[in-house]
Amino acid sequence: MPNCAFSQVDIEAVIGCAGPIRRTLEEDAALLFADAPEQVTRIRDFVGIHSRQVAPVGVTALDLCERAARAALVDVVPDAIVFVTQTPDHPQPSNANLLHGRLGLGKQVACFDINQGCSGWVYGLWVAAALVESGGCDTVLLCAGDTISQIIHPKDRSVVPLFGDAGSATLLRRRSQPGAPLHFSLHSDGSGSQAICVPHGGARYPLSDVSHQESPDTEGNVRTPATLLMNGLEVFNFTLREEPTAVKNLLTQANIAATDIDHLVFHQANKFILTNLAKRVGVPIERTPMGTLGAYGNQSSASIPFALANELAESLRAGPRTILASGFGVGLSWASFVGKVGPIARCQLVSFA
Amino acid sequence: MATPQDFINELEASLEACPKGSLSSSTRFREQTWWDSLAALTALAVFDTIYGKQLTADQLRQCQTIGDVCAHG
Repeated sequence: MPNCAFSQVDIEAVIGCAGPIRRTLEEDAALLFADAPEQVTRIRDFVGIHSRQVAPVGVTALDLCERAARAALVDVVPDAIVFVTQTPDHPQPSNANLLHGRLGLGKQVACFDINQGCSGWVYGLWVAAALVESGGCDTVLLCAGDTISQIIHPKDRSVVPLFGDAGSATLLRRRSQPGAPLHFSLHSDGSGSQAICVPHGGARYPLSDVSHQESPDTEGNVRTPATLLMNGLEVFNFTLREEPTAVKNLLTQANIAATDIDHLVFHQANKFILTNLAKRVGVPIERTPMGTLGAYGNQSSASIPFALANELAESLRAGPRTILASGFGVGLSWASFVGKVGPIARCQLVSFA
Repeated sequence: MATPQDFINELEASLEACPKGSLSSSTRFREQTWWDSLAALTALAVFDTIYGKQLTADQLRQCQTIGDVCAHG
């Protein structure tokens, strides 16, 4: 398990860009829960999502991240582009290379993708920070984005009301002097890989007629082998089992008290999980942002940077804050970092439309 | 050592739609109007809190009564 700290890295920009179409919970419920209107209240109170923002077909994570990247870079030409996504434009080439082309950058830029979901921004930040810390790069552009709503079956009630689409761009820069370190820990459990998956569409099961055959589960949710399958109960147990311990161990490693954390930013999964996690970690619930989840839905790899740029922008632009950010999900994988971040020069949302 | 009643008390406190005092070990929870996938998540969280270990999704699937659930505690 990689546990490490980087002290040469500044986060200079964090930009979020959501899909342009807003769907309210009431609109989702009218299509999905017409037979069970009480579910609207249950979802709002328990899951904490009252609307979500999605991208129409034809708008991808690359498009959303491009918009965010232009606001993050201004006149900076990064030494590398790291792109975290599970919904790339194509099996090949990588989204990072495609973005490089769109931005018209020179040939000296290194580009590659990372295939991770809800833990992905922290994984990407770890890689990007290592590139900077090593001295190999002065600046790294980290993009993290997904359009999960586009790989969900419209009649799968277990996931439709949860997911939004978004892109993000984070710019890292090498410090002239070492400063307060960012501490990371990263974990995986491949034995749980079936809990969240899209079975078809890769090399193991290439898309075929079978990939588009619909089948209902015991609760009436419809899926195909090419749409997202999430076993909510298993994912919940995994999160409760691994996250509090991982976060507490990281705090010990960093020698930071839970009460010293200004913002405990979890992947914006759902209110019930986040409330449980905050309680178990011992951080007051008001320091755990959940407004992004409520208004935009679960944005997969973009959810943590989006929450920073959405709910914490003012705080992060103002000055250094002790942040603990932690993502968990598909893989299974979970990753956290803690440290003083900011002031972040550019920290905001940009609109896609 | 946690008892089934500890589990029942915490579950009732955590489920808004569940009438207080209505649960017992013999309650067939799947037949209750308040039972749904979100109640299942709540049951897993309460189990983890009360017993300090986890009930798997498969184990829960095979339980019919509250007593079946507590037998895993």
